[in-house]
Amino acid sequence: MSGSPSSAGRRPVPGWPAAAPSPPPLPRRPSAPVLGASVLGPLVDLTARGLLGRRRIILVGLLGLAPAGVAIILVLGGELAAPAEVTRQLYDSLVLTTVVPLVALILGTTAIGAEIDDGTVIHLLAKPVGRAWIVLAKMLVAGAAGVMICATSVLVTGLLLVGLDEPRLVLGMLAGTVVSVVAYTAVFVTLSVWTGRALIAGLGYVLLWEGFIASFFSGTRLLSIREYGLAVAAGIAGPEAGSLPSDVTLATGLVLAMLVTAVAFVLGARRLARFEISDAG
Amino acid sequence: MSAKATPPAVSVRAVAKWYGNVVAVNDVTFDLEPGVTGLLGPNGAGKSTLLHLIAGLLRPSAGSVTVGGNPSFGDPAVYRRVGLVPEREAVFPYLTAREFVRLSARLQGLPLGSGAIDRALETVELSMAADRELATYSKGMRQRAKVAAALVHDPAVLVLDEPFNGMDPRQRLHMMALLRELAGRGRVILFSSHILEEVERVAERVLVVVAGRLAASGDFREIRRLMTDRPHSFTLRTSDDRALASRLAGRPTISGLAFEGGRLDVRTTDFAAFTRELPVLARDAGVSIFELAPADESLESVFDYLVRR
Repeated sequence: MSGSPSSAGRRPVPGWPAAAPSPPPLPRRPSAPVLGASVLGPLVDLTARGLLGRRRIILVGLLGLAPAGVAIILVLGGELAAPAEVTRQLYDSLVLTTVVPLVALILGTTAIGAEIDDGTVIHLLAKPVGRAWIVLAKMLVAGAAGVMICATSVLVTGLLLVGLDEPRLVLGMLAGTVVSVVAYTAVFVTLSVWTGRALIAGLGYVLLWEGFIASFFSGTRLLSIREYGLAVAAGIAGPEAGSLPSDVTLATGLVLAMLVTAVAFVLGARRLARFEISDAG
Repeated sequence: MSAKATPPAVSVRAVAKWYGNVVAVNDVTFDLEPGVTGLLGPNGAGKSTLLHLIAGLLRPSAGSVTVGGNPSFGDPAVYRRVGLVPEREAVFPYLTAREFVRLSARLQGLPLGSGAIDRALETVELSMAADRELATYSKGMRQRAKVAAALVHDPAVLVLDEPFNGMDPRQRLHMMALLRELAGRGRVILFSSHILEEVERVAERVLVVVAGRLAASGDFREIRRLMTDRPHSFTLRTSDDRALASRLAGRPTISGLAFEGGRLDVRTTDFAAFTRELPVLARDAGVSIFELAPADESLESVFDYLVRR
């Protein structure tokens, strides 16, 4: 009666073909592999819409463009005695110390952390998709958004303050910005896969480690993304680097930044591959 | 014999899941074959945990869960044949239903233009509203969008966590018909519910989970009989409780009598016999019955009984 489904009471459901002659077999080994590069497009598209559609992107944009705003105020305030020196100080103390890490922190932790928080990540995890591709898509979008915001700001700042008088300085600052944004966002995306408190952990890294410990103990600078950005900027600027302080060479900074990015990617992918949904009932 | 050559569609073996000191699921074993199976239990019984274990979203603390012979956790390839409808309402609010189902299709590697997306939307009756953002959807509509996304690749195993939540009666009936239709085509359907009637209407087999343990499993009619035949308690308010109690005390189907706060509490081992005998005994004793109420008809008490037996 109630136990077995009666065929008489069964209504055909529109859109579905009639009953199949036999149930589909479940092979012991999956015949189709986990999907790879083909899913990157949809994942990037989804992440971009999620990230750029949030209100906080406006906040991030304003934060990222703060150095350009300062440059505009300085230019409007009158002619600067040493514009190149002001640019270097602005880059060192505002762009690399505050703006880049905070922009990367917000973007990196939002890219996947927000989906983990609100539970939508389940719609990605319950798919035959290699977890590395999910992490890569998040890092690509967060990194690209961060680069666009911060590099635009640095370019505007450089052009406003030194124009084309110091092209290598502007180029160096741009390269240093790109390198540090990419490394920071990779670390923060991975951090948000590892912990639900990625924002606090990321702030701790930026403020305590980079802002305090790495600035006092020179031996720890090799473990500071800010230093990699500074090294790349100073290395490319060459003679125009002037007072940009860097204890790390261009090659070392570049290699370490790439290494940190790669390690962050691997750790993020590994963690997501063993990720467990937390809610239960 | 030949059926033994292929592994069960879903096999759960001595599975436990605990979080620190909290045991969410404890020593649960069952197999799933094609057809509709209802996972029944009160809120917080461990139903979602069990579904997430089967869907490969939780790692078992002990035991094993396999789908088609392969461990469900840590192998995304399992989602080629598993569709999941999670309980949480969360969907990507900035996507339309069509985009949401298309995303699911693309992440399943389906070729666009195969008609799978339109078919899935039509199946859940969302074709008309498919181009509206999910943020504007009601709870029931979101639920149907999730079902469409889970069905787009026509999975062999469909796992649904409280799928009828938020649906109106018509949608509920449609969803029940859909589940039966899929089961008729050889799909393995497992859905959870805390509402007995929902399970009764759609499931052939039932798994009853209480406090993380499998309290009962098997054919629904058998479970239903166990539930009906269990000891029942009633509260009576009559013109003469003691006179009626003296008559009841002599009946073999009565297992307990108590006077509580001006009422008579009766416990019977035979629900049907008690309901037949009570009016006769009351009439013979010249007692008027003002009120008769079941004392333990909550689902929790039914589950509790199944656990204890």
